[in-house]
Amino acid sequence: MSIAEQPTPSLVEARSLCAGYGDRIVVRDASFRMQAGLLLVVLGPNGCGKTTLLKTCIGLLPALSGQISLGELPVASMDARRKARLAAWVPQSAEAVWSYRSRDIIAQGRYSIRGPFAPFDHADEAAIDRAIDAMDVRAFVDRPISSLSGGEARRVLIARALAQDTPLLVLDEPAAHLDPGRQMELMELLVTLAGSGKAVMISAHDVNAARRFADVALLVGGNGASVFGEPDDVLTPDRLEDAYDTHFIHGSHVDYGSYVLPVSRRHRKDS
Amino acid sequence: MGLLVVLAAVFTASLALGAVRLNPARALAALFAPVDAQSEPAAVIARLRLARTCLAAAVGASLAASGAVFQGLFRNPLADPYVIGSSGGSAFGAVCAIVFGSGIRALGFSAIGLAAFAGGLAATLVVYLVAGATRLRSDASSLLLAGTALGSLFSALVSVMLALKDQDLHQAWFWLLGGFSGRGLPELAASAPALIIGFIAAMASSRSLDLLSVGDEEAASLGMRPVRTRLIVGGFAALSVSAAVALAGAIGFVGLIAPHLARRLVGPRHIVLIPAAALTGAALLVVADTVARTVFAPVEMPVGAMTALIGAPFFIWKIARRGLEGVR
Repeated sequence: MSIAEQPTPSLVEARSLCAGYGDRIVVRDASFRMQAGLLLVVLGPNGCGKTTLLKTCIGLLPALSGQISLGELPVASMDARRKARLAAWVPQSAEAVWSYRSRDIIAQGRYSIRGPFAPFDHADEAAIDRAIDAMDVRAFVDRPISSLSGGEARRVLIARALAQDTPLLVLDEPAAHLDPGRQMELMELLVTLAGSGKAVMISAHDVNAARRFADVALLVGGNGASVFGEPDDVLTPDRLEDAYDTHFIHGSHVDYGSYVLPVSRRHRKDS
Repeated sequence: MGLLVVLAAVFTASLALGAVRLNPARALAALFAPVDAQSEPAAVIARLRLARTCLAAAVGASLAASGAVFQGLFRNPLADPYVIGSSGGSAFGAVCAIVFGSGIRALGFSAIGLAAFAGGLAATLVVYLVAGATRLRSDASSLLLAGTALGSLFSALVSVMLALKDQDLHQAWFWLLGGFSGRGLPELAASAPALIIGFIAAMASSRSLDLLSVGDEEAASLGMRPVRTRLIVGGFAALSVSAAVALAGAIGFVGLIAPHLARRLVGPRHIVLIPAAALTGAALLVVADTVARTVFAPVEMPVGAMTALIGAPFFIWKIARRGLEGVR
């Protein structure tokens, strides 16, 4: 990873960031930075605050303390449209009421660029078309998004984020409920997106996929403390056991490299 | 397009039907004939009916377009133009004017109309303040809660006032049910600016309303400010609703079902939904008004009762056939 050695401008930078709701802190003291072209995977047990952290990074939730910057500017000082031109958010599932067609949902990605009133021009239509092709959703752009399967709907939501044309993509557990084939397809897509110059942040549960595909990883423990770095340094057996309170075995395969497998729940020591 | 044809048809029918029945062709011809001392009664009647039909169409269009806006703002298929207190406030204002009786007229409006308009806007303002003070997790539910609570409060106040001054009961009751008798083009002209501003604002907010369909947080991630948008767009819609209520009383149901029928025809995108809902609402209310003044002629039924009488069974039939998904 030679990228880390160059002084590339950081796209996301967190310094002692505490994220949570009101006076309930879930993630404490997180510090990390990432540049364009990288895929960051956030891991941690259920309820540790992965989603909260991601939302705080792009200003959907206010930071409780510490600092978060997007494109080297503090998120707290930005208005909604400015944030939306830097970071696109992909929620786990589509929750549109009424029966909007997939194409209408994808077109929403242009709001941050075109604003509430101006009509769409060729650039907007072209961006929407590119997004439709990139996510291979042309077959169901005219169907109501509520009629799609979970995986199809998620591809539509990613297409919307691509139409938003931002340097940063943030996806909340994009691999949830996907079959192994679709999971690999998604991870490869995210790697391609990062390769095309975007910064991609996701939350996930698949430790092996994180080690295989991610450039950087952030592991959040059950107590809200986090470790950031290259996946092989962060996702070590000891740290995984502590974070998930679970015993793992490690192995390696000639073609795959090293992997971990959860074996049994560790009984929590009294602390 | 089809909606325009339907509206034209019900418009013509409403000119022809009434206590004095006219041939539709003759009614239309009479409209364009010059009025003078010798003009036949048909011309006079057609002109009176035209004014009233225009009034019904304008009120129906305004209520239906605002209904579509409020359903979009609250992501709620059960929202109607009165969810943020406009009808309760207007009723309170109107009943105040009736009870404390004043003969003031301004801008072509009676004191009742003016008080209803002011009451509707004031109620919306109070609802905004209360919602701002409650700090619920979601802005939408605090607005809905404040709107519902204050709506009940205002109708309780109306009941108390009418119980104290029961000689005004009949007039107030008829006003509350809604209707067009005794209103004409001057009143329509006076409220036209508010109705037109409301409609333009609704059309201008259509892209924002589409965005709100995905929920506040996602809408914010796409670059809008849901809370502020809801207040501004809701404020313009309340302006238009208050003007419509000042014109014709709090006519129910049109603002609830017209958007659903329109959504079935043209889909959920607000840029087409709002005009389609307006046309549907106009047609519905013209029909309701025609029925109201013909079935028991010369006794006139309150239009507000007619809309529900015709609308409710039709709406239930639609839901029964397609399920609620069909109207969502």
